[in-house]
Amino acid sequence: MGQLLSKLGRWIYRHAKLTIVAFFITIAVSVGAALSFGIHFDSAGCLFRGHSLKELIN
Amino acid sequence: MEKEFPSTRQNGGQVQIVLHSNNGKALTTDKNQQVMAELFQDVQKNSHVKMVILPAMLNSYSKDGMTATARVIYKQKGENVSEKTVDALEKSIKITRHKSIQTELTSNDVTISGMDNGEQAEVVGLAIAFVILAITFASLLVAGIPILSALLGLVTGMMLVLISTNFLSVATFSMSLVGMMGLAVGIDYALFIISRYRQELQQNKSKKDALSAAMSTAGTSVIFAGATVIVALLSMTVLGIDMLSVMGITASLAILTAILTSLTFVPAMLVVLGDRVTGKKPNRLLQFASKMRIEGGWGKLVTKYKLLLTMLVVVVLGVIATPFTHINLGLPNDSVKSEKLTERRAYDLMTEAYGEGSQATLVVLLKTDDMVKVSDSVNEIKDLGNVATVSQAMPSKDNDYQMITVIPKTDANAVKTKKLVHKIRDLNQKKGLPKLYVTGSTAINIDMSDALMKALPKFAIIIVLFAFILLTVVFRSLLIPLVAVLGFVLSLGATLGAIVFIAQDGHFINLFGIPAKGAILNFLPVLVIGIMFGLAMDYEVFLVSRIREHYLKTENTRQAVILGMRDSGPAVVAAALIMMAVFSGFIFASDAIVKSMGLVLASGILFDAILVRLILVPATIDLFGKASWYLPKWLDKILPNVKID
Repeated sequence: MGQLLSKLGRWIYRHAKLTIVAFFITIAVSVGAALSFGIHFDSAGCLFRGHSLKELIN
Repeated sequence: MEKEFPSTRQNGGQVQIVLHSNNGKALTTDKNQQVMAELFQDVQKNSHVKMVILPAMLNSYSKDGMTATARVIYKQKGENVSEKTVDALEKSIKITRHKSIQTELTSNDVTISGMDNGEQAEVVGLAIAFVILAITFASLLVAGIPILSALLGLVTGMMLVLISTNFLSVATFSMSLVGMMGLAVGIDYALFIISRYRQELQQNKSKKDALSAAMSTAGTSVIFAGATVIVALLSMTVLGIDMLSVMGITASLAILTAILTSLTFVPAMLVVLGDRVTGKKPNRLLQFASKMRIEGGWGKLVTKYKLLLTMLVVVVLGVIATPFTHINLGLPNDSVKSEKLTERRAYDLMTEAYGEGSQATLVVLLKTDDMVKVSDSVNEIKDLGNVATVSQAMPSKDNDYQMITVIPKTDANAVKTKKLVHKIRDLNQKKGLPKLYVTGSTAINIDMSDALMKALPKFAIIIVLFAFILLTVVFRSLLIPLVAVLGFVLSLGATLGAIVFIAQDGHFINLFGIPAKGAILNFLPVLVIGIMFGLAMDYEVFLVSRIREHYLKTENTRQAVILGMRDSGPAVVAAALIMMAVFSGFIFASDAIVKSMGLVLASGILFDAILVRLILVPATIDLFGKASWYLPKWLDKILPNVKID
């Protein structure tokens, strides 16, 4: 694994700017995907007591 | 219960209004009744309110008539009752408040005061982290890289968690764990890579070779440590408790993105920033501060007093762990909230008027239609002790079941209440009595706490065994992994002991701004094991892998410990201080649960990183000498060879 990472290090050295651009594209894609899929939390409120917990616990 | 007693089915969210007369006259007087009627009419005007159940209908007037409760039932489920709707209710209660009737709100399913997850505290923690990093690297620019990469990694991780809400039942609370873990390990991993890169540069290597070397050494350690944390978090799924499984999975996503960010964005930034991050032109002021530390001094000190320090750490941690033996897990109720919150004031009013157990109602179902047997059961329950009142039996629609409510004398989280639940269930063993079931939110919470307490040793054993095997594979040693896991068990015991001593037993609660002592949040120990194990393994791997590197070169254990501590010690100290800063920030959040999480994690880092990893581990490696690196030949042959040096 060390050798593989060493190679990755050398590749990043040569393509540092490309790596940063690719990194930010990944973030943008993940934000876009999250927004397009929609966010569906199990509950909007505090889940510590009563029925909300009942639903969460087996 | 919902099948046999359809009337108990709760469809809409419920908020309880607690009223207490401060005008010297009972609430039942005409004047007060008129004001209360005005309040209830105003509440009913809201289009989201289904109905208001008045105190007379609930028979909720206290004996002295000074306190009463009413119930507001909404058309939508509790979690769907909006902030605007709650605001309207808060506006309505001003009607009675203005007439010297103290009016407070409380609810089990509607959020009234909201929850402070400690976002502001997180910002303060990050600022402190920045200062520590600036001193460590003697550069403001370099200090920004771990913070930036941790934040970017966290954003990506959170986006993955948000996507996962489409497939998993994710609670909003999971985001707090994701935030804590993402920031913590994100900063750590970047710190270790940058630190190694600069060390390689100091050996006159070219930037390309230094980056390559840092990636092959520190990078491998990041992958190994990160994978260990992910496996530890994923092992939460074996406990069979959905909420914890989901928390483990979501936190693992944050760790994964932290690893990927550290191995891509961080090295790329080091290249792009060029000479400005190599440490050749350090900031003069920060350089002065960073030079204040004694190079290699810690390793020398630890190896000189190894036996004394080993014994001292074991005794100190053992003593601090003692209160853990009487840990009481529960679901902290309104009693531990700040007095500034209406829920806490409502709790206090109800406790004063109706007794401590008034909010710990137990629902008992009896499977019989024989009223003589019901009467026998009621008498048996009354004789169990700690029972304030037992209601009359209410038959189910087919008269197959009878429902009674039992109000204990003690609070929902009291040990005596737990014992009462167990004793009532034990009546099933008694001949001549009908089959009975105990339910209601108090009993459910007690069952959940019991289940989590039962799962705790199972979870701890799984991850400790896993860590032992992995460390044996990596360090080719038996004693080093043994000390690593025993040290973890010790620091874990001390961490939980400290939180019991403070939050449960009530020592120094004022110092930490905890409003009142109470039960320990029932899933806190499991979370602490997961997070602490992750960080402990990070520090263990980074520290011991460097010591091993030097041992392989010198074959001198003491020399290896001193040099290893010199090389990785400062980075581990900085990482530990950063984690303590990030977690300590949560101590200043207003919510008692968030506070206790911050307190437990900050003390956990103090015990594990400082006492165990930086003292106990190097001291015992030197104490055992060459035996530290002993691995039976047969075992060496069968174990896979994973090199992280």
